[in-house]
Amino acid sequence: MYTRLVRWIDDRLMVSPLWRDMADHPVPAHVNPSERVSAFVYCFGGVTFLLIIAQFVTGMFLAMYYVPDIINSYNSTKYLMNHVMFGLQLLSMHNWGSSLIIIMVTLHMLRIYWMGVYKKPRELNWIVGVTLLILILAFGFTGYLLPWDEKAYFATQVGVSFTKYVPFIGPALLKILSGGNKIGAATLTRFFAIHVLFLPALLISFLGLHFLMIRRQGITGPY
Amino acid sequence: MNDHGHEHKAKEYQQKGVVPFWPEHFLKELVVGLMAVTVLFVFSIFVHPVLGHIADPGDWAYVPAPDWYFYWVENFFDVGGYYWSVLGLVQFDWVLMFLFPALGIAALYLVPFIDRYPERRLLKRPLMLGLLMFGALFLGYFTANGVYAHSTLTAQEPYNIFQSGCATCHYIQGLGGDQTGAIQTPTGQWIYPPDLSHIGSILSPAQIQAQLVNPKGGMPQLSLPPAAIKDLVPFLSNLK
Repeated sequence: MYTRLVRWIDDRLMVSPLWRDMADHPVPAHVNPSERVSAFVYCFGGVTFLLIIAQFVTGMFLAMYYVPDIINSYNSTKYLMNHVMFGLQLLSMHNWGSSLIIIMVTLHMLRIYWMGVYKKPRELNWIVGVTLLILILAFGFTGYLLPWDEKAYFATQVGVSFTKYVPFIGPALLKILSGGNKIGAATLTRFFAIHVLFLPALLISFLGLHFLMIRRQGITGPY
Repeated sequence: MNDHGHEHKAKEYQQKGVVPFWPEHFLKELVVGLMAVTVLFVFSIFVHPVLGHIADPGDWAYVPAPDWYFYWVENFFDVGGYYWSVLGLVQFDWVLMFLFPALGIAALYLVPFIDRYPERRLLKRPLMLGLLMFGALFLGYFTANGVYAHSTLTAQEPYNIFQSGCATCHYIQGLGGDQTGAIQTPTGQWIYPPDLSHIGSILSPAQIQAQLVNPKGGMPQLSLPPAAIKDLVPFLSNLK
């Protein structure tokens, strides 16, 4: 019964070739930490991905309590920290997650650079990877504003002000990014939307490309 | 799909010294992943983020700090901006603030095309090794310098606030203060702003805070921003 149901669905979705391709693809011994302990350097990218998933999950739960406006963002964060069960733990995990992702991404990039992994045919995947790095830094920057305390406000003021030096479009860019002439209510909703909608969509797309290329081009080495 | 084919493949993989992704390799990845999430969980039990005072755009006393991984950006622009103005290049500030970062990002993107060595070992790719060391020194120097500059600035801040505000009327250790704040009572007596040199042993921190927030005895309401009060209370309490 179960087998017939699965087969019925698979006849329509034709998922099993895709699954078999992913499940059966051979993983060489030199990236297997149980074969060789030094292979842990190959794990940094995967750990980053896992931490990104953890950020998605904690972020979704934070969004249940967070209210993105200039009065309630601060108060809802304070409420979450002081009165919601496991609220502080949740916020703390999201906060630590961002730092750990930066560390793991740095280690991952160092491994790629050290081994010259980006050489032909993997140039494009390096380019996608650098884009992912910029997206991750943008996550950090936009997320910093959301609690709307003084640290958030003034750090964002400094950070956003750098855009005005872009030739020709600088002032316009500054105005678009901050939603007006100064950091205020419009900046907060903008950064919230960027942090929880725009960036995740971009991140997922580029991660998809990243993984697709890894499967197409295989794992390098051993060297 | 069938068991026979799977067995055949398993034997083939064994001969080649590889394992299939599912479930062999996935399980090992899962163990490493669980370790990472455990680290995240344990850290988050012991160290929590701190929520400061609600954002107050009028707070002139607040010294902003970036997240730790952005210190180098801020400090590079700070230090660079200083030398840029010393060199008289202020009108070309876009070179420092836009062109240099843009070139840096472009260089990072173009790494596969800069690295033309046929070798993979880093020691046999001297240019790439040099670039890596330059990058590491660059990030390390400006991060350390940024943290140092920020701690110096925050340590200096209470004194700056005192100098630009309180010292108009009060003095500490013989510095600042004049007759500006003196007031005459209806009975003709003059009251002078007190010397604050030993204020920490006269008033408790709570009393100092109350006086700053809601001044009594002739001191005007200064409407000090939260960061200024936060800086001044420990500063004044330490004057013993």
